[in-house]
Amino acid sequence: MLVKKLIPFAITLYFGIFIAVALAMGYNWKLYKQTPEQPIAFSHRIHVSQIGLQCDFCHRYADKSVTAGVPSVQKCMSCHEAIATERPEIKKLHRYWQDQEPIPWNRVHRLRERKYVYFTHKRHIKAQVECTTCHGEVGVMDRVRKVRSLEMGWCVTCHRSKSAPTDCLICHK
Amino acid sequence: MEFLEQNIIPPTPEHLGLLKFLRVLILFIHFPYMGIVLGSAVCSVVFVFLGSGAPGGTYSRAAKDLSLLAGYGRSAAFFLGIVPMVTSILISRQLLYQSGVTVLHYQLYALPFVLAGFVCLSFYRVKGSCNSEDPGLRTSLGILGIIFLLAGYLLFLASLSRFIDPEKWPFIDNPAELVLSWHVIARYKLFLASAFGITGSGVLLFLLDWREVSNEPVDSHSRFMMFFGAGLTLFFVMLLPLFWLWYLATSPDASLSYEIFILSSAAFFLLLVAGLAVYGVIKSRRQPYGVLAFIALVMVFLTSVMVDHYTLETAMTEHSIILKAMAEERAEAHELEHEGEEAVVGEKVEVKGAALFEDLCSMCHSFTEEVVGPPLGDVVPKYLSDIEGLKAFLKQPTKKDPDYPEMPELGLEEEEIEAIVDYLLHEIKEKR
Repeated sequence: MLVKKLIPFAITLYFGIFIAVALAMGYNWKLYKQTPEQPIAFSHRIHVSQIGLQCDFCHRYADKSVTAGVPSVQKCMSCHEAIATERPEIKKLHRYWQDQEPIPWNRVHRLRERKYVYFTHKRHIKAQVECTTCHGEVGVMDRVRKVRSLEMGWCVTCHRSKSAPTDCLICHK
Repeated sequence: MEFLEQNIIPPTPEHLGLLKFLRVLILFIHFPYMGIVLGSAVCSVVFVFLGSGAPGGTYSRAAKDLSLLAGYGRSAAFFLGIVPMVTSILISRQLLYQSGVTVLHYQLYALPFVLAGFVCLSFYRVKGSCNSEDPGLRTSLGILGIIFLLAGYLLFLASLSRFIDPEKWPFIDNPAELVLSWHVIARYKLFLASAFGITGSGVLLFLLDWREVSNEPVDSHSRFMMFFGAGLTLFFVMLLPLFWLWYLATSPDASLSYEIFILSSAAFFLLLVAGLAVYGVIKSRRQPYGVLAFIALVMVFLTSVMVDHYTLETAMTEHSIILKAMAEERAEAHELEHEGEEAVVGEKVEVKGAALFEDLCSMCHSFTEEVVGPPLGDVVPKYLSDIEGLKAFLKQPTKKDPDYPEMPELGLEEEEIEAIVDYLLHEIKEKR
């Protein structure tokens, strides 16, 4: 008889656990996976879509090196010494410049097992892979978000479809 | 599919908003209906097998009742089954306007399968209700219908799941690649579990004679159907959250947002309500509990469609911005065309050059003052004898004066360069 009375509680408990798990997953997502806020609300949309700057104007090393490179504060200042100096976000930039400090940007595209992966931008640019293939339409993003998983399965699928080498040692040196 | 692409009008943001709303609405009607069709067909065929030894027994009666649960009647199947699928295909084509994505063409392949499934099942029902003398043919028709529906719906759901996974779009070349992914499989299981869940509660709501259920006769057919409906609902309601979490865990990060998790916990709460209602049915044998279970399950379908909507919104954020920009560009071009009818051609070039200058150059350059770059009144005259040199510089700027930062490459088209150069020369001459 007691068991029968407990059934509704058991059902509630069972679904209660799932509700808790879903909320916990949401919290986890908010903490770790949501697009990070940046110290300055730099908008790629304004710089790329409106003004028409090319990616490599700021990310200088994409075709020359492993990393694409984040522009120096000096690079930003070369235009913003004079442009839009009244805007609050540009004032933040000026503060970094006056303090002679780098801007602590938060990284958006990070390989999960980066210790074991060798990836170079240079090779991919030489093979004429568009920036958007891996980074998505950054040119219309106000705050950059990661739209590709950057996981091995995805890398290999693309390598296969473009007949690029799929030897383990290509990426795992 | 080419013809579809050609016949689609370029969407505007308002148009897209309306389409997304429509999509939620039709899928909300479509999914529960398809769930009941599929669930009741499977259960009915199983009962036909169970009752094959004893025609007229409880099992055969249950099989017949179940085959009547979903109207596979022509109009219901057409308006609730086929039309929403076609509409959904058209809407997805619109949402992906000019993206060059072909993955969703597989939705179209799903249509003939689903259609064939409906045809087989409607013959199955007709044969069941006129007590056909050929049970073998009837069962095979039922099984065939189920297989068609399962296959068609696998393709349909797979394309819907792949819709929110742009990362994989370039790599899907055949239906096998479309279907083989944990994300698709989780989505399919989620649908099947909710299909059987809603079928169970549909039995409670539509097939029972509740007076018979509440008034004790222990072996009555209605009592059997009540336990069957309640058991089926409870079992799949318990399974659903597992599949749901599986689906969330395999969803691409680029499609997730906080709302999804809140909606999911709301769905689990609704499942809790459904579970308790079913328990109420078993315990107190009263109709309102059955109604509550059914409503809760329909609401679960609504939350799943909403989850689908939000994941799509998030996954397509950038594409939507691009579509919006395209719409604005079209509107602008249309306006220019209108104005152009009155303006002289020469003036038009100038207007275009001035507009481009205002948009792109004026941020760094003025004619008289130093801004970021040098005053144009000083530098442009150097090119007066070398217009081609000026054009080449605008196409690919190089560093000229060490006192100024390097000018960025602006990715200008030939005609844009022409217009800007014309404007610059015109202004320089005016100022002299």
